[in-house]
Amino acid sequence: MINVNDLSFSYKNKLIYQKLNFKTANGKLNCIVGPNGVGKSTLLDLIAGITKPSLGKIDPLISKHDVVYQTQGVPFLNEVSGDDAIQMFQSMGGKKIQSNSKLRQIYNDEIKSFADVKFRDMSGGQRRLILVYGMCTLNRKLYLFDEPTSGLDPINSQLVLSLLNSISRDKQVIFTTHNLYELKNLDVNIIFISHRECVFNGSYSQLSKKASDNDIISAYSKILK
Amino acid sequence: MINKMKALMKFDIAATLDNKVVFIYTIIFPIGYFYFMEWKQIFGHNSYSNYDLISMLIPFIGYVVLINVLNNVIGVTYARRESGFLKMYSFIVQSKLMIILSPLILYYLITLFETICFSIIVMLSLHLIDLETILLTFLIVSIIYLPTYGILNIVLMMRFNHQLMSIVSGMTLLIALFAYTFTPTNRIFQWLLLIDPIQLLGNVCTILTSKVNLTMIVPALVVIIIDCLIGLSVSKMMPIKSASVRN
Repeated sequence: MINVNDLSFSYKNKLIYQKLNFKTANGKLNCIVGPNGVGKSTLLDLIAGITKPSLGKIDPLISKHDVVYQTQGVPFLNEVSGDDAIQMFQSMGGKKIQSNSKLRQIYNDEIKSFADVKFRDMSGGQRRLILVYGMCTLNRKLYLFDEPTSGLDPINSQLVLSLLNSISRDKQVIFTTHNLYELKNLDVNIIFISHRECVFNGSYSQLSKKASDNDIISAYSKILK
Repeated sequence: MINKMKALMKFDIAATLDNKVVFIYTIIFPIGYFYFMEWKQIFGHNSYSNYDLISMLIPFIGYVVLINVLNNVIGVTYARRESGFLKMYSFIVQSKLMIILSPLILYYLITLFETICFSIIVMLSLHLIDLETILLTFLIVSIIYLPTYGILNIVLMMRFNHQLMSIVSGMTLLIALFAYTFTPTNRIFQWLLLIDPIQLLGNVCTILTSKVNLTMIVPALVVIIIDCLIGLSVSKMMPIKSASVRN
């Protein structure tokens, strides 16, 4: 569990967070949601330890060696193939490579067919799928994913989320998203950031119940207002 | 750690081989310029001492070293940082230094290959083959490569838009070549000019080809150590996040 205590942070004289407080949940996915520009990526940077807060603390601040962090874009070497990239992940992981049935299934069913294609010739979704897959094979304590389903079709989005779900049982997984509906069937702890603070911290069903029609988007809009 | 370096270098080799034109261009331009400048010598039947030959080669070797360090090591690191690749990759690799070291080592080998090829082509054009000159080229590049990287690494601490990188590297190259044409009589200015990697290269060449002279060795050695320390500190201090774009 990661505790964010009274965290304040400013970027270029603009206050991003003021006394932000929340706790992540163990054994399930943690999803940060909030409007554009609210500082979701900044929050991941703070949790990863590459940005220091102005005030407050993140406890525990996990060593960078135990973190894997997928940034929002898909910056990668265009000249290498998917298989080369996966091999590189294996070299980085050494003997501690993670492998579970979900990972094997995703490789065989989804990745294998385009694994020999170079990154520059892949679609944005295929690149993201390979990176997320590769990162999940690394054995770390904390996994941070910034919009891992952005640009993916609904089937691949579900695939990526099920992949994250498969490692979240015994690892801390935190990701951001704008698509709330994709969280519906997941065991997920939602951390809703708005107006420089955490305005909601709980499950999908708890958030839905904030709206009279039990719709997650209505609940989201209601809290924002 | 060795496995990680191997994997990283494999990636950088793939990126280099994918862009072979740049690889050839680095020595095509100096060869063309050499033929343009020295055509009288090429078609004449002059005899050259070892020192004459290596003196003729210095600005060209300096150019190849500078171009490779600027465009393929520092430029690549800069582009990787600005695109967000360095940030993500340093978590995967668990080391920022290894990501920086990989192109640095690879381009040391490529620079050696290119400068030795260039020296051989010049020697063949001048109708002589001298193994000592090849050895000198190897030694000079090996001595000068890291300090050149070190001093030019300062670019990575500057904040500018990534579109300006090619202008910054072009200007650096021009200033370095221009500074090489200066031969101040004042000793302090001579030492200060050693900041210019091509001046330093010329100095190292003189040290290697003439009698040991402490007044030349000590300043060159001091500059080499300072340049390397600058390179190491910048590599350690350099942020992994883009300086110009939020990513």
